[in-house]
Amino acid sequence: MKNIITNIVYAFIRGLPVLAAVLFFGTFPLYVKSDYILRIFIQIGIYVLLTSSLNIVNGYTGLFSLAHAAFFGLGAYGSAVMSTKLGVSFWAGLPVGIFVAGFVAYLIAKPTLRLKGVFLTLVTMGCNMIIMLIFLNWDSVTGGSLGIMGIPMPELFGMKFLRPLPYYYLIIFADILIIVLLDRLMRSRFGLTLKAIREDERAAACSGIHVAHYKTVAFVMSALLAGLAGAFYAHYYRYISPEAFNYTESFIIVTMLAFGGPGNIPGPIVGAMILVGVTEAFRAFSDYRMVFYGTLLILMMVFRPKGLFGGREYPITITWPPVKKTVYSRGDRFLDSAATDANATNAATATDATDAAPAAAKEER
Amino acid sequence: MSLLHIDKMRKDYGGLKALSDVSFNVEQGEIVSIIGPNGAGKTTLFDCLTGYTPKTSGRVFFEGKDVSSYPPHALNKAGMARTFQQIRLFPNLTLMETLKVGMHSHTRGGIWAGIFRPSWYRKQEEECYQKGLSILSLFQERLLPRIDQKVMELSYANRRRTEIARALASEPKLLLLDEPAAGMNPHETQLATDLIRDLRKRGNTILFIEHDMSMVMSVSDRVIVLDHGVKIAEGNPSEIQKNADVLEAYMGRRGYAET
Repeated sequence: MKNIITNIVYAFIRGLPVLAAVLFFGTFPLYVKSDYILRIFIQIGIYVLLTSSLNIVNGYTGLFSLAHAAFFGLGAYGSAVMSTKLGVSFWAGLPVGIFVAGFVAYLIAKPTLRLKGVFLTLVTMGCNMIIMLIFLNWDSVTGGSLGIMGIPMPELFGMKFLRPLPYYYLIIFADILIIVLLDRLMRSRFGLTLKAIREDERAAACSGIHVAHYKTVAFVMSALLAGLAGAFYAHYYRYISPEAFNYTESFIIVTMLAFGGPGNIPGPIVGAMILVGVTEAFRAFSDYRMVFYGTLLILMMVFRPKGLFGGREYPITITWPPVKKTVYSRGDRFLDSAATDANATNAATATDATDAAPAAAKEER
Repeated sequence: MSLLHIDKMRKDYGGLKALSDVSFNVEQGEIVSIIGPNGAGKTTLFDCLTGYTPKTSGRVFFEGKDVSSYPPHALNKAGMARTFQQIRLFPNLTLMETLKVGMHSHTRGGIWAGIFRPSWYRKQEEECYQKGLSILSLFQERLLPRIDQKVMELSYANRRRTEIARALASEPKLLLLDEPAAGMNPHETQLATDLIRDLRKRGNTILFIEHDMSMVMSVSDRVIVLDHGVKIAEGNPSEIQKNADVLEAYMGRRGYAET
C-alpha cells in the first residue's frame, strides 16, 4: 500500500512540467478572453504537431524529408473529402485522413528510403510536387484549384465548435498528448534505434538494426502525425486549396524545425511558436514573410547552427527519484565471472576491503 | 563442425582482384589473426564477411548454416559482431546508450512497449544496464567512469575500446576485430592484448586483423597471411615466422637487391 502511494507521488513529481503546461494552457482562455489570441494559439498548435512530426524523420532518424506539406495535405484532403462528399462527421473523417497520409507515405518510403542525404531530399520534394498536382487536377474529388469549401466544423455531444474555444481545447489536448508520447517513445529502445541510424547508418546495421525497416516505420509514423495535423487544419479553416500544400510549405516546416533545433522535444514546439507568432505579429508586412524566414535561417546557421535547443536533449519530465550518480575511482572493478583471477590481485592491493566487493562502486548523490 | 567456414571468397573491383578464392575455417574458442601487408585485402575480407560490401562470389557458413546472402543486421543476430578500422561510433550517443544499441539483437520492444513501458520492458532496461556495466568492467577504469559521456568526447583509445564493447554487447559467438591496436601506444597495445586474453577466458572466439606483430604472435592460436588478395600461408605463429612466402611478402625477395 505504501509502495503504491510512493509510486503515485513519484509519477506526480515526474509529470510536474506536463501538469504545469496543462494548467497554463487549460486556464489561459479564462484570463485572455480574446478569440484572436485563441486563433493564433490554434494555428501554433497545428504547426507544433506538424513540426514535431517532421522532427521524427528529420531530427531523430536523420532523413531530410521535404514531403511533409504533402502528408499534411493528404490528411486535410482525406478528412475533408470524407466529410463533404460522404457527409461523415469529423471524428470519422479524422482517422481516414491520417490513414491516407500514412498509406501514401508507406508507398513513397518503400522504394525511396534506400537513398541517402540530398538525393532523398530531392525525391521527397518531387513526391510533394506530384501530390500537389494531384490535388490540383483531380477535379472530381479534390475540387481542383478551387479547393474544398464548406468543410463542416467538428461536433462533440451535439455541440458545434462555433467559437474557437472548444477547438482550442481540442488542439491543446492533442498537442500535449502527442508530445508526451513522443518524449516517452524517443527515450525508449525504439527512439535509441532511430538515433543510432541517424548517427551512423552502417554501424547501426552491423549492430543488428534492420535499418530499412526502422526508417520506414519512422517515416510512416511521421506522416500519420502530419496527417493528423492536416485533418485539424482542414476542419479548423473549413476551406482548403492545393497551394497551401505546395513544397514551399515544406520549407516553412523545415525552417521551424531548424530554428527550434531538430532531435529534441522542445525544439519544434518553440520553433513553431516563435515563427508563427512573429509572422502573426508582423502581419502588416506579410509580403516580406519569406525574406524574414530566409534571414532568420541564415542568422541561425551562423550563430546557432544546431537550432535553439539543438546539440543536446532536454527531457520534458523531471527524473524522480533523482538518479544516484555512481562514481568510480581508479582500481574499482565489477566482479565478472570470467575475470575473477584478475580481480584477486586487485583485492590484494586494495586499501579498503569494500573496494573489492561485487558492487565496488561508491554511491554518491 | 567449425564455427565459421569461408569457401572461396572472391571480391573484384573492376579488374582488381581484392580477394581471390580465400578459404579458411575458424573453430569454436579459437583466436585467429589475419595479417598481411597494406592493401592485402584484410579489411575487404571482413567487409564481405559481415555483409558490409557485397562479395563477387564465395560462400560463408556460420555454425553450419549458409549465411552468404545475409544482410549485416541478420549476421549480427546470427552471432557475428565486428569493429571497424576507421572507428564508426554514434558520436552523439552516450557510452551506455551505445552499448544498448549493441544489445539490439537480444532485446525487444517497439513503439508500444516504448510508450507504455510494461514491466517486462522495464526489467529488460535494468538488465541491459547491468549487462553494460559488466561489459565495461572488462575495460576497468578506462570506460566505467564515462558511462554518461557522449562518445565523441572520449579519447581515441577509449573510442576503440567503446567499439569493442559495443560488439561485445551483442553477445557474439564470433568477434571480428579490425585492427584493435591501430594508432595506440605500446602501453595501450599491451592493454588491448590483455583484453583479448581476458576475452578468451570468457570463451569468446575471435578473428582479428592486426599489424602489431608482438600482439599477433603472443595471443593468436593460428595466423592467416594474405597478400594481394590471396591466402599465402596459414599456421601457428612460430610456423608463420619461418615461412618463406610470408617473409617474401613482407620483406621482398632475397635476390632482387643483388641482381
